[in-house]
Amino acid sequence: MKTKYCYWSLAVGDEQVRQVQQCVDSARDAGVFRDFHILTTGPLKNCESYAASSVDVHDALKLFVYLKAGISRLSYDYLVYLAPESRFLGSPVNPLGPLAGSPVHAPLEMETTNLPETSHPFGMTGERYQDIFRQNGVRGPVFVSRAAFWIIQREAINPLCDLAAHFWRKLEVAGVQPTASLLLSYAAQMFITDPAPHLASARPDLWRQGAPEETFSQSPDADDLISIAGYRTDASIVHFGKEGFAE
Amino acid sequence: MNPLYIYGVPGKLGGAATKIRDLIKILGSDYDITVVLGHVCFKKDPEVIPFLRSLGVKHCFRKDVPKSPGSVAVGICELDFFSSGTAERIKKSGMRLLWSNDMMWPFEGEAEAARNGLIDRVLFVSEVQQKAFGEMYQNIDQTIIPNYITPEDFQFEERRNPVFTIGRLSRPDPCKYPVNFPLFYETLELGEVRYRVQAWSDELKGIYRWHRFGPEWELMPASKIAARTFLSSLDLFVYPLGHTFVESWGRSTVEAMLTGAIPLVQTGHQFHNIIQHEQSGFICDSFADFRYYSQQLCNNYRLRQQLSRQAAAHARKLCDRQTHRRIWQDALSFN
Repeated sequence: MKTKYCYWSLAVGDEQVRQVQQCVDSARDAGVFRDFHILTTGPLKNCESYAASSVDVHDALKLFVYLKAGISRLSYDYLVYLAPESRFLGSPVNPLGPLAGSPVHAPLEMETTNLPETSHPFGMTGERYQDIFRQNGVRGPVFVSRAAFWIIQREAINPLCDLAAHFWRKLEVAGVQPTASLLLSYAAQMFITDPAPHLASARPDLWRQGAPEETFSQSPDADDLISIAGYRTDASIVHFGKEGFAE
Repeated sequence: MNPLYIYGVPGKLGGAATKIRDLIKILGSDYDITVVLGHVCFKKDPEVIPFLRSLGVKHCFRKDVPKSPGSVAVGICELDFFSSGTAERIKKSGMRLLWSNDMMWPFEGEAEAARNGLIDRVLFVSEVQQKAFGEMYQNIDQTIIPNYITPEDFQFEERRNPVFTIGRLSRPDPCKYPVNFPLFYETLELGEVRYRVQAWSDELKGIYRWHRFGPEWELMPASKIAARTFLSSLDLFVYPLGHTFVESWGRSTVEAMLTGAIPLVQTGHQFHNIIQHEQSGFICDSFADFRYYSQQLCNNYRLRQQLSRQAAAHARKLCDRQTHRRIWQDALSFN
């Protein structure tokens, strides 16, 4: 039986609505005709869109509330989240591959022990970040990642959201400002046993975070890449969002 | 013999219930024991009353306890021990009250009882548990008594499984299972393997519905197989726990060791008091450790055999009857 998946996103405010429309358009331009389901506060074309009614929860939890209350009702086996600032540079090959049996995938970008000393993921030292994750049950190496591209098996939505809510409470107690990226990163790592297939570097063809100064218009298009290298070398999906963990 | 009233249920399921069974066995010749049952439903329990009769131990219900000033009462892991007014009645009757919670959280009314001086002595099973209750019991006499398990009930057996078998035994409490439980076992990558789990429940089935359990899995309800038989079928007792759960002692781990199942547990809790790392089991920092050690043991029968024997021998040292008898006698004495 063929596994069904779709892309989904959340766009609140004019800027995010504009961004997510560009994301959808870039997918169609790249030959991606999978379903897109967008919770939005503005009109959108070329996708299924739903009114994102306001919810009275902390910003960091909104993504999970919309996932649990809304997106979970869609009849797909897997749901691939894309931040509105994502762009398709090509058509992803086997995007569910990194799951490797896990019900959740979030690209693990860097191990905390490898962070430069000057780096402060989400406003913390790498050591503090690692301690908070460890104290709450993440064993083995701790990674930083962000909620820009991630995959969830529909039947695992409830435990994922429970973990996010649990960690949100723990961060509040620890005096750390919760973000959706922190919550997602924690929940994903609680599910992951072997990090190897989940490393962002394991699938450079699938997704990458754009460089801080990089924009979509500057990215080489598919024709350029093929003419330069003879085959496609860049990631199919690039996130050009400004939310970084290493500022 | 001095009278001793034990408030609790000597059942066959759960750490506290089995602890009471073993306690009665080691103290039966030193005290005139009466087991005080909280509910009449235990009258019909096929395990409880026949067990007490077989040892010649008396039983009664809470309302039937005779006034016995100066004698000792021990409450063990009774959920309604304080909220039902039982502890208060014991104190009013002039008895000495010892309390053993056995869990990592306080029961309803327990903190108030501690404040009001109803408890004369509190018994902990480990330093980990004592620390968790440190504030509540700071002004109350306390002692640590590790659990005792009757070794003869969990005889050692050499393993000769045609298929390498790993598994675990615990209450079907979702807190005891890590969120990635089935994935955890499967990504140990042990080749041809059998996974045996007891106890499984509909609630756990719902929680892990994201996983497709293949034919290599045997998920059994509570008490489907006797604990000894079940544990004897395991080569490895692989026991990852949920992130919100702290094991106060680890009874099923020691039972597993007695039968010769090699324990692989995670750091923390109080497993360092019952397992010598790489001698009688393995205490793992990370999933990578679990995988490394389980693969080593899976691929090396001689090593497995050696570790199995060492685990069983070490568990027998932990469960020395005379040592535990002395510890309990001291704990029950107020002279």
